[in-house]
Order: sequence, then structure tokens, then C-alpha cells
Amino acid sequence: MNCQQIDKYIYEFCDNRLAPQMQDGIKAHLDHCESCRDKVAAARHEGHLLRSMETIPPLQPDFTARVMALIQGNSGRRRAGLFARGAFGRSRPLRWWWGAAGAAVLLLVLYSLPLLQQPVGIRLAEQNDPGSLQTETLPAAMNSIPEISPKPEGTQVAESVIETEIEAIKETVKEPVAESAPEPRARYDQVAMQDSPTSASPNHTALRQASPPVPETRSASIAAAPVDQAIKSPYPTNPNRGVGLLTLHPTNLPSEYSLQTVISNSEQDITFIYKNQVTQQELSLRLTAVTNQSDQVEMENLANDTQLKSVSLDEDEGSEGSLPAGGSLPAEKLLINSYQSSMNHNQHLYQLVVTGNLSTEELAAIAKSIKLEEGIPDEEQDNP
Amino acid sequence: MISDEMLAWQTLSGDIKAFEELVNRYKNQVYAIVYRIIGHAQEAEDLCQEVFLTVYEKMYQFDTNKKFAPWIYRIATNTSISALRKRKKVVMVNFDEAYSVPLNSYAPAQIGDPHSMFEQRELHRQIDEAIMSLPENYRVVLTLRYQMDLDNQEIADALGISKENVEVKVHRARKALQKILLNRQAERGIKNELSANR
Repeated sequence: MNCQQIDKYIYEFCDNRLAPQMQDGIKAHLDHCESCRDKVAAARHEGHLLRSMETIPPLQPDFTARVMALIQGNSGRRRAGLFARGAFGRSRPLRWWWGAAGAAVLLLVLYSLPLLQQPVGIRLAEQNDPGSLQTETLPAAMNSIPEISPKPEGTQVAESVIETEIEAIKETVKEPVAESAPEPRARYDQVAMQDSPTSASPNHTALRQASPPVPETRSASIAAAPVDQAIKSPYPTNPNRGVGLLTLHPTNLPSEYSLQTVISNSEQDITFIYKNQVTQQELSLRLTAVTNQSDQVEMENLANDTQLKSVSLDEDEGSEGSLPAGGSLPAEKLLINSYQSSMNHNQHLYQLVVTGNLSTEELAAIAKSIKLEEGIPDEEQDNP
Repeated sequence: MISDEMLAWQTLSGDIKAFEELVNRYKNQVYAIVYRIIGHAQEAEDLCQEVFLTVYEKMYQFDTNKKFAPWIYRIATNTSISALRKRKKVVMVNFDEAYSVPLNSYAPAQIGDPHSMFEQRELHRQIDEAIMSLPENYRVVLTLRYQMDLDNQEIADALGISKENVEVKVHRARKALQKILLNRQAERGIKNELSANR
């Protein structure tokens, strides 16, 4: 042990905080080093002064009482461990902007939620003004679903006639569809919609995942809601429920098909994707409101309420003009067919494109079985 | 006697009396730490109050498997240093305040020669003044070591630093204190010589 080491450990030595071996080593050095002894003596004196130093003014006698009063005064609002700093007078002021930021985020979430959930679809044709395709914008919120009111008498009669016709068509179509052999599954993302006014964008949002299978009738929803007096719903809305919500349902699909997804392409273009629970084949129904006036006039010449107006058997676009040199196509592409038809609902035209890895005959049969109905999807699903 | 950790647990369970007991046990130590850092009695008392409120608020963060003392000392230290830095003013010993407090209230009772009593008080005052002129981290270390009588590990826990770092800080603080005392002693010697020459 040398003087330099003594200088390093002098305070620990004076406070007896060194290991016994080290303490003994220093003591041995101090026996023969006078300067180090002086240093140690001075350090011990300082240490004694530091320990005996009691020049701190005393606390006020009622200190504890004041602290407890502050705590108990706030205990009605908060408890130990459960409250944040800033609750007391002498604490940091509460950072109000954290609360404001939280409230803003909450409001944003609350307002965006209905937008994500609300049904989207084509604008619903209005019954009372056949000259123009009436449209209704999306509902502001799902909460505004009105009660179902009784339909006008005329509408009920018309619908009963339509139902009878559709049932007859369905009976003729059912068997070929049921008997058709399941085709190999095709990649659905290769399906090209025919004559669609708007092509599907990558931003399309899947709005609804597989709903529980509904026997006999599968319905997807195309929602529309009246927003002002100029746009009238075919059904009277309940003024007590605010803005009404009307829907279009492609119904009467074979019972094996259940709705998987609804994709909103635009306000007047919506795609329903069904899945055959038996064969696992997928079927796409694309419904588009015909907004072009000349198209509408042409279609109206064939008009007969809600009846299938025209049927065109088309193969998938991918099979046209892209034949390989050998003249053959990949098997799965050939199996993706589209079937286009137009339908009338409330004297307004809608284009229906049925696409799937089925034969065109089967697609035609399905298309013929489909009818458009109005209603409220959620309630229908609750009460199939 | 109920341990501090048990009292902390009882406080968390809603026993306000348990917390009151903790306040009584630690108020002087906490006040000593705060005062050594702040250097002003009234401010120190206010901050000491804030420390206990913070302790009450943050009690859920306390691990009852560990010692309570280092935890509360750490809160006291951090609160004091934060307050000091917030004010951004140089802390100086308030001599008027120090002398305004009755001496017998905080000076050790001295019986005997009045001259030696005066010398003792003067020595304490010098030490106090020297400590207050140290950097705040040195003041805290010396207070925890010599007034709280904590070992190096406890100081390390209280300050959130390593044990080795505590040893270094204590050593440097002591050296700095020694230097200040020697300088002041030298100044007084010169003054005494000057006054003697007159």
C-alpha cells in the first residue's frame, strides 16, 4: 500500500466501508507514514462534522397534517396509485392538451366508424320520377336505419306478379345448375367484367365478410338513403327515425350460395361475391346502375317491370383476342365466364354481370333466377 | 414495528393511516435531502410536501419486494433537482434565514464554555456554507452518505447510478469540500493577519 492508494481510499477508510483486508493494509501504511496520518486525521474530522451537521431548519410541526389534508382533500377523486401527477395544488398543472388530443382522437374514431360500416352501393332508382335515374347518397350513419313501413299497395301487387314470374324461371333453371358438375376452381382475380362502366379499382373496400348462410335466398345489400325532399324513397320513411335506408337485394340465388363479400366500386356500381358451400366455387354479381340516357331509352323499350330484359352469353374477355399460337387457352381461364343481363327495377335499369367459373349456361340460369328487392339488410339477416 | 414496505402496501390498499405513518417516518430525511439541494427552508418544505404527494401518486410503481427508503430518496432527489433546474437560479445559502431560526432548534445542544459553543456553531456554519457551494450532485451524495447514513448501494439505488459511481462521487465531493474549507480557512487567516496588523 502506498500513499497514492491511501489518497484514493482515504474516505472509504475513514468511514469504515472498506473490506477488512484493505482496512488493515491502510492501517499498516499509516503506522510508518506521518503525512498520510495527518490526511486521515483531517478527513475523519471533516466526516465527523458532516455527520454532526444539523443546521437544517426544522420542518413545521403541522407538516404531516398538511400533507394528509392535501391527500384526503383529493381522495374523493383519486386514490393512491391510480391518479396522475397534477391533481394537487402544488403539483404540475394538468396538461390539458393531452385531454384535448385524446378527445379529438376519440371523435375521429367515432365519426369514421359509421363510414367504414355503412352499406354502400349503387344509388337507388326512385319510383315516382322515372324520367331520370334518381339517386340517393349514402346514409350518414348506420344508426339511421328506419323502421320498415308498409309498402304502397301498387308496389305490393307488382311485386307479387314479379315473384310469380321469377319463381317460374327459377324452377326451370334450378335443375341444370344443381346437376352441373363442379368445375375446377379458377383464379378469381383474373375475372374481367364485361362492359362495366367503371373498372374495379384497387381501392375497393370489402365491406362485409361472410354472413351466416341464409336458406333459399341470399341477399346482399345495396344501400341508399334519402337525404332531402327531392329524392323520394319508394317506401315512406318514418319521420321519427330520421333518414331512411333502402337497399337493393339480388335474391333467389341457389341455396348453396352464401354471401362472402360486398365490394363497393362506386355509388352506382357494386359487386357481390358469393361462395358455393358445396363446390366452393365463387360467383360474382356485379350490379351497375345505367346512367347513360341513350342506354336507358334502349332498355326501356324492352321494359317490363323487374323482368329480365336481355341476355347475352359472353365468354370471358380473357378468352378473346388472346389465343396463343396453338389456339388453346389455359383450362382455368376458359372456365371463367361472364353473363351479362339488364334488369329493371322501379322502371330504372341496372346492368347485372354474373361471373364465375361456371359454364355460361349455368351463369345464365343463375342470372335468370335473380331478382332485385328492396329492404333493410340487417333486419332481413336477423329474420331470414 | 411494521416495515416501510408493508406500510406502502397498506397505502395501496387504501389505508390512509399507513401513509401518514410513512410521512412521519421519512419527512425529516426527505426534507434534509430537499433542503441540501434547494438551500432554502420554505421552498424545501413546499417541495418536501410535493415529494410526499408524488410518492402517494406513484405508490403503485413501488415494488414492495424492494426497500422503500431508496425509492423515496430518489423521488426526493429528482423532484428537488427538477425544481432547481426549473428555477434556473443559483442556490445560495440564505444566511439571514439560517440565523433567524433559533439556534437551539437545530444545533446540537452544547453545554459548557460559551466560547467553544460559538466556535462549534461557526464550524458548522462553515461546513454548511461549503456544502451549499458544492454542485448539487455532490451535495446530494454527501447528504445521503453522512446525514441519511446510507451505504453506497443504497445511494446508488436512490440516485439511479452504479455503486462504483457513488464511490467516485463521494470521493470527489469530499475532495471538493476539503478544498473549499481550506480556501476559506486561508482567507480567514489572511483576514486575521490583516486585522492583527491593524
